Amino acid sequence: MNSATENPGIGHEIAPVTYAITRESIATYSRYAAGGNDAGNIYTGDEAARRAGLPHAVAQGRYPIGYMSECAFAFFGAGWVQGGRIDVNLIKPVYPGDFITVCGIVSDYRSVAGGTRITLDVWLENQHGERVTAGWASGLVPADKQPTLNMPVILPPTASVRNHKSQPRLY
Amino acid sequence: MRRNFDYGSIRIGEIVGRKDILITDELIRNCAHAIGSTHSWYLENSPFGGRIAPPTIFDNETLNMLDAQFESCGGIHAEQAWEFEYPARLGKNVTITLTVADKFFRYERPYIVMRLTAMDEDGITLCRSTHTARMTFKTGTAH
Repeated sequence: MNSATENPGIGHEIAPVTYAITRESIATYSRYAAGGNDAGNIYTGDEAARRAGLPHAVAQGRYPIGYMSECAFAFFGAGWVQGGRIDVNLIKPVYPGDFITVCGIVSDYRSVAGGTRITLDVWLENQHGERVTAGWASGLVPADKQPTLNMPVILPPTASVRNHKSQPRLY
Repeated sequence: MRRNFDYGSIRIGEIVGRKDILITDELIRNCAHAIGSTHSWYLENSPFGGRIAPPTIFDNETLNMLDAQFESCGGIHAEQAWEFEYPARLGKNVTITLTVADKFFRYERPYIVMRLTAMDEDGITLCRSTHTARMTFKTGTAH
């Protein structure tokens, strides 16, 4: 089960997804982010990164948040693109060569107009078991499980991050 | 002429910039490709009356607009929040507005909080982003 519409209980873990962070994937994101003007920045150039005090090039902080959003989209469906919320702290850098796993666990349910808001504790974990980004995400599950238009939403409280021990699958 | 990225001169509440973005096929494809997604709602059709963009499609605009206004700006991305209200649809014009929501010191280091809002041509608010960064260059009175 990996869908918010299947009534996952508190503590349910979403299916973890692991992404390989490579120089090419960072460059692809950087080309998109900079409209093709991606040369010589701290994401694509080791020298530029060293001048900024980094050991070598790093991934953009917002880049793996896109992965978190896609996993939340897979879980919540329409209730993510219409009513989704995410708030995360970027804790550690992500480097080329890292394997980043998107993890999440259901931490709260709340009835709202037209359905239920489900909150997840979410985090990104690297291959060393370190959390590099962590926070919470929530989405709406409409009562009829269909997309609804301009439904009012209620913000959830910040949730705490919990332990996660399941084995990720490689994406 | 771009201003210095200076903690002291940046005012809370000031509008950093506005820009219009047309949601094109190329934009959706490039964004989806960058985050490794082939979701059918992005590339084929969705329940929202056509293709939609990945919800984080505007995630670079905060820095792009900051860079357009400030000289030598830099920062370490510390926190990111999104509120997705409605998806951006293919063919729609979207107006992005970036404001300075807050600035503060934490452990004697200067931080800036940028609030981005996106509204489409029909007046629908699409999303809000809150991007918190530690300023790393030209911090003025910070040090």
